[in-house]
Amino acid sequence: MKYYDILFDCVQREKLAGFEKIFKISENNNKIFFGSGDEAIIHAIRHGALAVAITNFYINRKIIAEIKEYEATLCIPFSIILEKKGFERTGLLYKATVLAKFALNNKIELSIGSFAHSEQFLNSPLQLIELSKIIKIREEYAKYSLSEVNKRIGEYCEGKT
Amino acid sequence: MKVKHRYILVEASEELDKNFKDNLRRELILCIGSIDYHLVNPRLIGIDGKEFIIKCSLEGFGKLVVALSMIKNLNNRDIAFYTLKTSGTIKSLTSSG
Repeated sequence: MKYYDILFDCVQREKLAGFEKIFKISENNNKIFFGSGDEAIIHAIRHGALAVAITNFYINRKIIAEIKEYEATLCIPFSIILEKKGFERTGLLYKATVLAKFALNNKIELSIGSFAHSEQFLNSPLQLIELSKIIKIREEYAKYSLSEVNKRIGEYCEGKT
Repeated sequence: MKVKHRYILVEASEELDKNFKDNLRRELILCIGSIDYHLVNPRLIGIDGKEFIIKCSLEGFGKLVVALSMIKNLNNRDIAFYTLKTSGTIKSLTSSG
């Protein structure tokens, strides 16, 4: 199975063992929304964002409805969790668990990736799969997300689809 | 009954110094916790430049991989660990391809 990761273009590293390809996105791209705030998320989805990475891991029914209507993908950026320490990190892990469960129960596609701004917060496929299991995503779904979903998002960002 | 193990090949983002083993052990106890540390039972097998092999119990494998993802600072130095390969034997881990 071929795995793909999504990072910001400020990361120099081009390859990491285990990944078929690493897709790079710019900070100001309009294809993947990276941030928080209900209004900003809804605005991004309505204006062409294929994927949404909610950095405070907060989601509600309004956002879920928009994501379902526009068939967007919900991304879980693990670098946000790994940048924190102690209780902050534990709190984010709990929120990510709730987010993943809420999304999967509502049949929303999940993408798992590093979304790192620096090489220090990069992860191998094995690490991303194990981190997904920590937030109660099944291993089979994590592998599907790392391969099929990330490939589709990455190619959309590169303009290949 | 034989306890099953896993060997993990890990690449570090920085060169590893002579105190790496003790520093890593200290950080792993913080991440995994003193209760689960004995279940995971991590043992550093060998170091080669930026790469090292670590052995753990099969049941603690997932916790060790997550702990290695969470360690971002070792002895006041920024560092990252990337778990590249895993295997039941060292031979298949170090064989090419």
